Amino acid sequence: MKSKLSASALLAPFLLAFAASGVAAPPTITLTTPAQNQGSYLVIIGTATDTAETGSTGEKKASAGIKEVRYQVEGSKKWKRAQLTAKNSTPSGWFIEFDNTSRVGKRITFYAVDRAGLGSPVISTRFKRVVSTSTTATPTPTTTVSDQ
Amino acid sequence: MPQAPFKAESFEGKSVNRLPAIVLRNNRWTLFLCLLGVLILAFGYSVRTQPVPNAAPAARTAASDGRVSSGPISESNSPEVTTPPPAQAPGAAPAPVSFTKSPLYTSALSVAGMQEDDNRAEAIEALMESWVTANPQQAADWAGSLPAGTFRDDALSALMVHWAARDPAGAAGWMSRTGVDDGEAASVLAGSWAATDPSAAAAWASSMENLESRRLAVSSAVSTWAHTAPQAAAAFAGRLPDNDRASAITAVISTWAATAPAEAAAWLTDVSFGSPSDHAITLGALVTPWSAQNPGAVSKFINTLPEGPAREAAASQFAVTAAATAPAEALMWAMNLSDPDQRNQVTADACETWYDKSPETFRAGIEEAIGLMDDPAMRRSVYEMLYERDPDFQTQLLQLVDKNAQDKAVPPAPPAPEPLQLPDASLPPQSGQDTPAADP
Repeated sequence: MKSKLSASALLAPFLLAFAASGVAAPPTITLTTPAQNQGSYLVIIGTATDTAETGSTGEKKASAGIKEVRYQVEGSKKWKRAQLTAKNSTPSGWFIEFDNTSRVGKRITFYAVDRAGLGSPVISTRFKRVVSTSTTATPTPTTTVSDQ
Repeated sequence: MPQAPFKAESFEGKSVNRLPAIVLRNNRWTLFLCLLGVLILAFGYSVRTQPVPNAAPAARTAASDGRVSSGPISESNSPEVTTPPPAQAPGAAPAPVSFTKSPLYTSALSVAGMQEDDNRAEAIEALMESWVTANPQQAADWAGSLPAGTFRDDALSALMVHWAARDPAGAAGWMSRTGVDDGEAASVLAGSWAATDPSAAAAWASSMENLESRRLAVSSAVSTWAHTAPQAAAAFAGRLPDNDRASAITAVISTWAATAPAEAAAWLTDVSFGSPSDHAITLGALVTPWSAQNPGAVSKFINTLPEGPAREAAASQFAVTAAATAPAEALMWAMNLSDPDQRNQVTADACETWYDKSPETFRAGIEEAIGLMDDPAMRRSVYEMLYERDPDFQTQLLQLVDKNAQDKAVPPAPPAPEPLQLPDASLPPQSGQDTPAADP
């Protein structure tokens, strides 16, 4: 008697071939530093992860790794390079030092690039300085002293 | 042979009744007009339902035309139109339209028409401060109705700054109720709330459903908390589930290191991390601000760390940051990193920090440092950095290094000849050795 194959069994060779060929996915980037901070000196920290090039068993291939993280400060046209904790590995931490001088701060945009040249979606955050809301009570004058 | 559906000659040759031709022509016109109508309707429907991708350009166009639009999304000539823009998170309840009746709504439209720069950011802050004071719900509904983009992010962020200062629980309730799940806004709210009630802020943040928003909010809450009670903030972060724990600890350490880095380092020694990369990132958060304060102490601290990626990350961060104040020590750490790519990159970055801090000192000292760089790729990375920052000095440095290299390449002078050993006249001449001629 001829056995009847299920649909999944028929599709299995194609699925395996697809998985074995590897799926190229762009890296991802996340931010750890809060959007609002005290003081002007700010170390902005985040993580970039390369999920690209996973093989049939889901393992990361040797080519996986974060090559660089770039960032652009609002008002500047230049994309600068962030400092990586480990180049060409994944996940990798990234750091920038930023001098936050204005109350409304600056919006900074980030993206990561993996070794295959794929770029992550950009993320952006406006980093603000905390403005103290505590108000000093104005002393009520009790007497008016006149110089004249 | 197939016949064309309408052939004029087929009618011309026949006698006379023109009525069928007229009817047929009318049918053609009817068909044509029907099709045209359908097309117009389809076009009109698509235009009506098409969302404007960014609020600012649409509103800016209206502003530049001298028109007043009903909102940043739908442009209209009538200022009385009250249809709110349909920007809603999936599953969210429809936003009320009350904000269009606010007297501040016109100001909001003006702000939306501004160019994206610092002035617009200031204007959004001022607008939100006023609107939150008058009616935070209206302000929130307007900000939440904006289409995705930086203008919306700025509006929500400014909203949360001022709302959280007055009624953080109300702001949190609005986010939950409306489904506006913006990570930046959640971060601002949690951080502001934590300034007055860190436990409540951290508890709210850690209850958020969206992973990314929750991570940002929790990090923000514990970061603010760490300003006043770092031990308590660290303890809270340490108890979080794995998905949120590492970033929360990093946020605490980053804040703590700015005021008491040695204490933060001591607390960190007892923490176990799920992965070496998490440990590396947290150490980087510790070392970066600490290196700017006390490079000597950081150098000693890194020496206590076991070999591995965490130590390498700490050394990298130290090298880049400390190069501003202790360039020799920073370059020593950079040039001894184990990974060649990381080593060359960090060395160039440390040189860049050094140059930015003091170009004169850099110019005076880099030649000696270059001499210590055996790897040509490392030298090249430094030259490339200099090419961007100071191309004239790069040329000078290259010439200087070339000259030194040539000087080193010149074969050493032959050793000075030893003094000629004259044979002792008292000894008999050996065979083949000429006897000095006697002076006459």
